[in-house]
Amino acid sequence: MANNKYAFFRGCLIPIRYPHLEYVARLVLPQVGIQLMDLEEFTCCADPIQFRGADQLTWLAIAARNISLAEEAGLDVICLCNGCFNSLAMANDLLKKEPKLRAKVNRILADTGHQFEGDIEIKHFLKAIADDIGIERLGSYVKAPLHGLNIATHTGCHLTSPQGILGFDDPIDPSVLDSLVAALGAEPVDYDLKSLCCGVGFSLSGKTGASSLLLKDKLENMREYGADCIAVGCPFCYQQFDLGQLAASRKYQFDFKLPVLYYLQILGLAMGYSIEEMQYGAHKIKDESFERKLRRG
Amino acid sequence: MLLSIEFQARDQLLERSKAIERCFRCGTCALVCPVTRYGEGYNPRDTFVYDVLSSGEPATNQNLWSCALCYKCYEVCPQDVNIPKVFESLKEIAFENGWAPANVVALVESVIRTGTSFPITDACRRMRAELNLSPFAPKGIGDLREIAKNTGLEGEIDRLKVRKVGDGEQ
Repeated sequence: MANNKYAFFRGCLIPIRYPHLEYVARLVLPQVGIQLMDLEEFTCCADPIQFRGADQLTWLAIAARNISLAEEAGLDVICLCNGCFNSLAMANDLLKKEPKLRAKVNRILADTGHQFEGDIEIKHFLKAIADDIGIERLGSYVKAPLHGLNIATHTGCHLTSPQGILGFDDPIDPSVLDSLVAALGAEPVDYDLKSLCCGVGFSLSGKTGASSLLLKDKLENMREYGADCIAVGCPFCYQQFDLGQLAASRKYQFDFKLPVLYYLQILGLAMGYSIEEMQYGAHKIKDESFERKLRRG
Repeated sequence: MLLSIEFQARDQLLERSKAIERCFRCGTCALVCPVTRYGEGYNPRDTFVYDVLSSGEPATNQNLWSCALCYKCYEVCPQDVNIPKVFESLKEIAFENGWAPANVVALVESVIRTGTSFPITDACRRMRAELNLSPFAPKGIGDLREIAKNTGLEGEIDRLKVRKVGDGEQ
């Protein structure tokens, strides 16, 4: 079994709004050899969309401080959220490449007692699973293969772009998450709008009309290709496909429901946990035919 | 320059991102831009990117904040314009001048004051207790205040006149 220790970067959205996903991460990851070390001094990443836009230097210094905490512990970082991963990985890359900028940020950090050294890596948990365990060996943890379950994967924008820096997957034609669900016995669904953003940015800025219109296209396309559920690796995408789907469904009267599962919930199901143990009860979008498929397996 | 960017902040923007001069309006970005595809009032000829960049003063255009920096345009641009960097720069100009939407200012303030982007609610405490998870209370908030003081964000956030990003930037 792989045995890799990481500084556990939970972010904000999961511990505050979706603690059931933190619960699942703490339960499942150690069982596949990924150890999570809590560093209590971690703060918000800060986010790569609005905060980074509003004040790039403060954004960079906050990310550098978070990275320095992991450096002091001698650990690489594992993230549960595409946004946290994007912020920390881009800041890490920028500060490693730009010595003048690093010196400037370290002057800003001087009063905190932390310094950015540039000697660790930032990983998203999907990358940690793909790298540390490997897609082929992942099958050895499967006790209840998810045969017959059709999954539409949504990798999300901030995990893949910019590809040159993040190096996880092709942002225009992503396939890693498909391989990760296929390794559990499930069937990835090859739908057209796979690389289309989840649209949570619209929801967060109050543009619910645009959010619902986007979800209508994306969800109907997933359904058309036979999806029973959606797989994501990001709590913002999760929120959009769960809460956002609720709003879109009211507006457009969908005749279907597509539950969204965080990848670690799907991994847990394949390891033999029940959907209740994987905290399905906390979801807003539930679907009986999806549940029946799992119980039959 | 084929993309006509004639506005007050043009030189300021060129300083931050010279690549904007390479845009030849091929519209490839519009094919992958979720805001152009789903945002109200846009179509393949009147795109989100052109809406923002052809404004008289693009940093004041509130639609700017719809960009979620998904980087799809960056991935496909045949001219390597790095549109996300242009948008980031515009957001920074907007923030410095007090043109950012209130929810963005509130987010930035929340991060430097509480260490989180979202308020820790009673519902959060209850859910965590039910799952036997320890209470979520980020430490290190004092450090964030030091950082924000040193970058100039602290103390100035109310006035929204923040320091310029100096040397060392790409």
